[in-house]
Amino acid sequence: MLEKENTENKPGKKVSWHYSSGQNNPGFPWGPHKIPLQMEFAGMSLFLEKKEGRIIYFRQGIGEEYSKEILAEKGNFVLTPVEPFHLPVGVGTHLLIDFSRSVVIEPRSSKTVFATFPLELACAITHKQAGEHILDVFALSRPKFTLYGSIRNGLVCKYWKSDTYISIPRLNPLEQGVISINIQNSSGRWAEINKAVFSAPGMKIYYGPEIVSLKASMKIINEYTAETVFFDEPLKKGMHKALEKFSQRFLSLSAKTVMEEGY
Amino acid sequence: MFEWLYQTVYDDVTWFNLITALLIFLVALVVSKLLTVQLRRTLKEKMSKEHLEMMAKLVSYGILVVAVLWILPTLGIEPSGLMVAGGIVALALGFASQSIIGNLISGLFLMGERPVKIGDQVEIAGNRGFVEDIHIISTSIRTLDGLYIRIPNETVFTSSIMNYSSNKVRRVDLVIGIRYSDDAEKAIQAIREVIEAHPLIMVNPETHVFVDELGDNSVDLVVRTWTPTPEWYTVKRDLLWKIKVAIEAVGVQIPFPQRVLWYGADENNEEIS
Repeated sequence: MLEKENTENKPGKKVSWHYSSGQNNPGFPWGPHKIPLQMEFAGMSLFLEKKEGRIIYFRQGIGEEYSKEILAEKGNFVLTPVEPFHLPVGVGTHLLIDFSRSVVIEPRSSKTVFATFPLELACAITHKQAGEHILDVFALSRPKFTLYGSIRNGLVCKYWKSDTYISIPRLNPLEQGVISINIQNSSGRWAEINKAVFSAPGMKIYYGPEIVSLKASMKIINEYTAETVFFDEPLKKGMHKALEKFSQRFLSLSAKTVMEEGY
Repeated sequence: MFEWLYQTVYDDVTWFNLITALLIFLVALVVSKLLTVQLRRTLKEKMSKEHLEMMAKLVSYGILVVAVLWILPTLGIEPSGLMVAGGIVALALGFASQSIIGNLISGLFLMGERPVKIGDQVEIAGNRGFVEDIHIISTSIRTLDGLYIRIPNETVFTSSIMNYSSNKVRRVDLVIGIRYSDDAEKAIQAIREVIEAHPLIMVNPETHVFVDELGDNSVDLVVRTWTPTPEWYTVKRDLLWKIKVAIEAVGVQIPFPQRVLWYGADENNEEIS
């Protein structure tokens, strides 16, 4: 079984895990892995084992069990963060980050703040020609939704309350990611920001052994209107791009969000 | 061998002309079918179903109309002549088939106004169900128990329509009666914890939980909470039992209807029942 160095959900600590062959691996278990495999983290156990020409995927923990049978001789397993819009599927296409403390920014200036965002974890199997196939998506954080705007025309958003930071915070990268938001106040007034709404299809998540990140900007246009957009850039060098499952399904949606109902 | 092809059928129209016209129409029919299938396949995930269906119908009818206009001269009919005759024919047809024209025009207005979309849950003229398709003459609905209903567009257009799906969020209303001897604050707190833990209950609009009525048999608490419209039924189905379990876990009970009887002749006014 696995050797765990950390106690669950303690930020900054590394999870120790190993292939069933016994080979030890440092760092968080993002990325590709060979099958058979066992992982345990934050109360969750994942198993992939080969059995009579097929692969059995099994997940257990946090009050649920999930399994799949894969009819394949070969293939690698990939654990990757994905956009937090699959649980439940089809509810909401935007992310609303509610800042626990308002951010006030002076006129005609640009500052960068860091906040957190919720993560979902995707387990996929890869094939040389066909690419990845998602087996399972789960989250260690509890989902919640909110409405931005009117009941008639508003946006149903994934809700996330976050503190704001002036430098990159240390977090449990299996549960939360770090979003860098460059706030540009192009207006001639002070701006007080309580929330930011982002469109899911533009989300470009990157991951490293100890951090999952997003980069975004928020342009304050006037007293009530702001514009947000994600950038396709990692927060640090050497990070890998996460699987884009949601973005590919909603290509018709704009990657830019115009917040016309206040910020 | 093929001389018969050039024999006239009527006026200057030969068998060759007739077969050519038929072939053009068949090709147009096949092309329109293939194109609409391809459109549906390509744009399935990029457009809403309603817009996609409308576009597919426009493309399909457009191709057929162009094909018909193209083959009319081959059949010895001049489209310009049709325009004059068409007006008179349309007038005659209008009188002869008022309901069909009424439905057709209503259908066009419905497509413009769009009070309902394909997939919406609606109630039209007393029929409740999901809109399956909006045709030019009629609208088809699948009722909640799986029946198919075809409603003429004139009826749809002139009826009150209740569209359960048109707004982004929908309210779930619940009434929970507790005993007079129970602590309502404790019950409200337990209900709030259930609401907070439920992933499909919105943070905004916020949930209201309050004592609404001092009833005959119970203190009635009202829960007004909001959920994404497609998830309304799931939440409605799920929430009431969770609340029941939660309030019972803190010692609050849901009372049975009861009546206390007092006998006036009893000197000590002792409770009998």
